[in-house]
Amino acid sequence: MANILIVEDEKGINELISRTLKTTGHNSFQVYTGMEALAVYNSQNLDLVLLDINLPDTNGFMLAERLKSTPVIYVTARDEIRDRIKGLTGGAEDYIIKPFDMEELLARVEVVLRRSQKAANLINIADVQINIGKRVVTKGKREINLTSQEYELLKSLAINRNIALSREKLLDIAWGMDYYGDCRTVDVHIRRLRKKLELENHIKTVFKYGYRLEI
Amino acid sequence: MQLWKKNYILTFIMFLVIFNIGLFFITTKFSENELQREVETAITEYESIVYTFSNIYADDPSSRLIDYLSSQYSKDQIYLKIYDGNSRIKSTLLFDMIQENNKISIEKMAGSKYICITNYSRNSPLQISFMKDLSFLNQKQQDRLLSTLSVDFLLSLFVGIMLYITMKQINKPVSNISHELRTPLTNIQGYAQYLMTVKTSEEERFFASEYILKEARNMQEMIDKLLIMGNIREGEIKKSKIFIQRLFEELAEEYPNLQIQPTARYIYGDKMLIKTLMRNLISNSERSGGEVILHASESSIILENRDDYIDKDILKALNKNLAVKSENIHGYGQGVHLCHEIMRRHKGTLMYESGHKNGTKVSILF
Repeated sequence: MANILIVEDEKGINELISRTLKTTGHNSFQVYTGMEALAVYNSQNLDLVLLDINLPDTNGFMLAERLKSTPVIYVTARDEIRDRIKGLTGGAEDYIIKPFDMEELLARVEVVLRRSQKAANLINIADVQINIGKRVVTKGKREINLTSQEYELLKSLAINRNIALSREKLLDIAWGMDYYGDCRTVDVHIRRLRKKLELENHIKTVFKYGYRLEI
Repeated sequence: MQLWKKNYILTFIMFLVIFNIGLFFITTKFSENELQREVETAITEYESIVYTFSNIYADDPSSRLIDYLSSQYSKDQIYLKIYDGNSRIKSTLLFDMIQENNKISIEKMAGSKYICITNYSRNSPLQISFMKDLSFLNQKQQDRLLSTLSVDFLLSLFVGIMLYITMKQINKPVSNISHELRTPLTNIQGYAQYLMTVKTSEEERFFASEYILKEARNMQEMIDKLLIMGNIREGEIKKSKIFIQRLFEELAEEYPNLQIQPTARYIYGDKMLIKTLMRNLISNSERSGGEVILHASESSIILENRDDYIDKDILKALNKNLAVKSENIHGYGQGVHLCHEIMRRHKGTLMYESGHKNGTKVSILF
C-alpha cells in the first residue's frame, strides 16, 4: 500500500495516526520536526504527507513548498478560515481539523491517493478480489453480481479494513446522506454480502456498533 | 468573528451612542443658556435705549441726537424704529417686524437670527421697536461644535483603542488555554475511537488506555492550575508562619529523590500556594534529570539542580514571566506563570540563574 509521511510534533497524535494507517495496510514514517521530514522526503519514495501546520522548527506551509512533488494533507488545530484558504491555494490536496475522526482521515487519505493514482485498485480478501477501478468483484475466477449498495458497503469496509464502521456510517456511504432508512437495512445487506462472497469469517459484527472487515 | 470581538464592537457602539447623546444634550443646553443670556442683555439694552431716547425727546422733540444715536446703534447691529404717536421719527430696521406690544421674539431672516422687542411704556412718549442681530451667536456655536466634535473624535478613538487592548488581553489566556486543551482532547477522542473500532491486541489496548489516562490527568492538572490562578488573582491570600524545615520534609515525602538541607528558618505565606509553587519547580527541575537540592538562606528558599542547564533566551523569558515557545517546554507552559503569580501575591520574586558549570538555581525571594 501507500507510503505516508506523518509530520506532527504531538507524539500522541502522531502515534495514533501511524497505528491507524498501519491497521488499514499503509506504511507510515513518523517524524516530529520539519528537518526530519525533509530527511525522510529525500530518502524515501513517498505517496502522501500528513502535515501539521505548527511545527517546532518551521511552519507547515513553508515545508509544503519544499515537498512539491508529493500530495499534502494538512492536519491542524487551527480552524481559522484564513489558514484553510492559504493551505489550499498553496497546493495542498486537503486539510483536516483537529480533533478529527479516524474514519474521516482515512477517507481523505483514500481520496487523495486515488486522485494521484497511488491507491491500490485491487483489494484481495481471501479468494475475493475487488477491482475498484472497474467496479468489478470476482470470487475465484467467477464474477459476482452485487447491487450498488452491496458494492459500496464492501468497498468502504475494504478501504477501512480492520477498522469498524458504524451502521450509521455505512448507511450514509451506501445510501447517501439524505436517506432516512433504518440501520437494520445495513444488517440485511451485510448478511447477503457475506453469503454471496462467503466472507462470514472476514466481515465481523462489532457489538452494538457496526461491522469490520478483518484481513 | 470571535466572541470577544463582537463584545468589543457592541461595547464600543454603546459607548459612542451614550457619549454622543450626552454631548449633544450638553451642547444644546449650553446654546439655549447662551441665547437666554443674550435675550436678557437685549432687554436691558432696550430699556436703556427707551430711557435715553425718551429723555432726549422730552427735552427737545426735534433733536437731531435721536437720528444720530440710531445710526450709531445700527453700527452695533442694533436696529430701531421710533414712533411718536403715529408719526415715524426714525427707522433703521432691516425688515418689517411684527409689531405687537409686549412681545419678545426671535425672528429668522436670510440665514440670520434677530431678537425683536416691542414694549411701549406709558411713561414714555415714544414707541420704540428694537431689533438686534444675533448672527454672532451662530458663529460662536459653530466654533464650539467643531471643537466639541474634535474632542469627541479624539476621546472616542482613545477609548476605542484602550478598550480593544484591554479586551484582547483578557481574551488572550482564554484562547491560549482552549488551544492547549484541544491537544489532550484530540488524543483522548482518538484513542477512545481507536479502542472502539480497531481489532486490538492486548498490547495495543494497554497502550491506548494508558494514553487516555495520561491525557486526562494532564487536563486535570491544567484545570487545577487555572483554578488556583483564578482564585489567587481575585481573593486575598491567608498568610501564616511556615517552618521551612517542615515544608521541605513534606515535599521530600512526595518526591523521594529530593535532597533537603536542614534549616531553622521560617517564612510568612499561604502554605497551600507555597507548596504548589514548590511542587511546580521541583517537578520541572526533576524532568531535566539530575539531583534536586533544596536549601534555605536569609529570607529565601533555593532550589538547585547541578545537571540542568537552561538556555540564555529561555532564562530571560522565565525571569520576565514571558511565554516560552512550546517546543522548549515539556508541559503546557502554565506552571511558571502560576509560580510568578504566587510570588507576586506574596510580594516576593522568583529568580532563575543558570550556567554550564553550576547548573540551574532557582531562588524564591521573600
